[in-house]
Amino acid sequence: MRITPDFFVILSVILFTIGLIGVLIRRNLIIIFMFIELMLNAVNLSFIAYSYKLGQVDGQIYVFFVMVLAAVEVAVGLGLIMLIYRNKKTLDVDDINIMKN
Amino acid sequence: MNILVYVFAVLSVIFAINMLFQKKMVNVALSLMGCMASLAVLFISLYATFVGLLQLVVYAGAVMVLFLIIISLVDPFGKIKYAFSSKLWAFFTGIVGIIFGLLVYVIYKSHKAINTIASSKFDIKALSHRLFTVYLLPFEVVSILIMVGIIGAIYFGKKNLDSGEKDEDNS
Repeated sequence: MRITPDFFVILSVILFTIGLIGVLIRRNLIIIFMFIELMLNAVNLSFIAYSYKLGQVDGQIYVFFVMVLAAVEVAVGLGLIMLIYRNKKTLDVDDINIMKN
Repeated sequence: MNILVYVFAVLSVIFAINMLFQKKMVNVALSLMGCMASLAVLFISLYATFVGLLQLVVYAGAVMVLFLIIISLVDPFGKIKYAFSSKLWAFFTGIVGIIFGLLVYVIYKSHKAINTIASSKFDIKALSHRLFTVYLLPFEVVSILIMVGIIGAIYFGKKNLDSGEKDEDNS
């Protein structure tokens, strides 16, 4: 008995929801960034599962592009985080409120 | 083969839940690395060998090294807190519930709409052929995007961005 692709889709939904909960309840900037990476990975898993289900290779190519985008995002985002830390001396998103009122 | 898939699926969920409850940033990063490695195994089990290996090299390798370097540069032992204000919990639960319900609904509909096409074994030849013919323009655009990202990262890494006004920091 083979495992159906729906199993992987459900797993990706679970991982995406965990990532969403993490983005909402954690208050550290780097940890929020890691949960965003987790959500990207969950979406990649659903792409692969549907690629397998439909018998087309396009989903894997989309995953390739998402990975490249994630690498660029990490490079730029971590540069921004270092800039924020150097100016504000904190990584708590509750203390970074210069846009508030 | 089946038991391996189930083991790594459970392992990835356990690593992801562990990320929610860890206090130190390094432990969260290591849990994320474990989750990514488990997902790479699941990718390979779905005949996406190239993407699975790329997941190991790019995500579990390069991205995690970047994360660990940044964690070591900022304060790794600072206090880490949750959003424990009770007023926000209902809001968060509402958001998560709505999005989870929407995802389950969409997947249920697509499960009824799409019927499975069996016997699909992808090789890297088909993938690269499709990547360099149909998806050639996005491929080149993505390479330009990487270059823009490199330039942006170098710019953000400068010592002080508005140089010329405050140069008292000579360290």
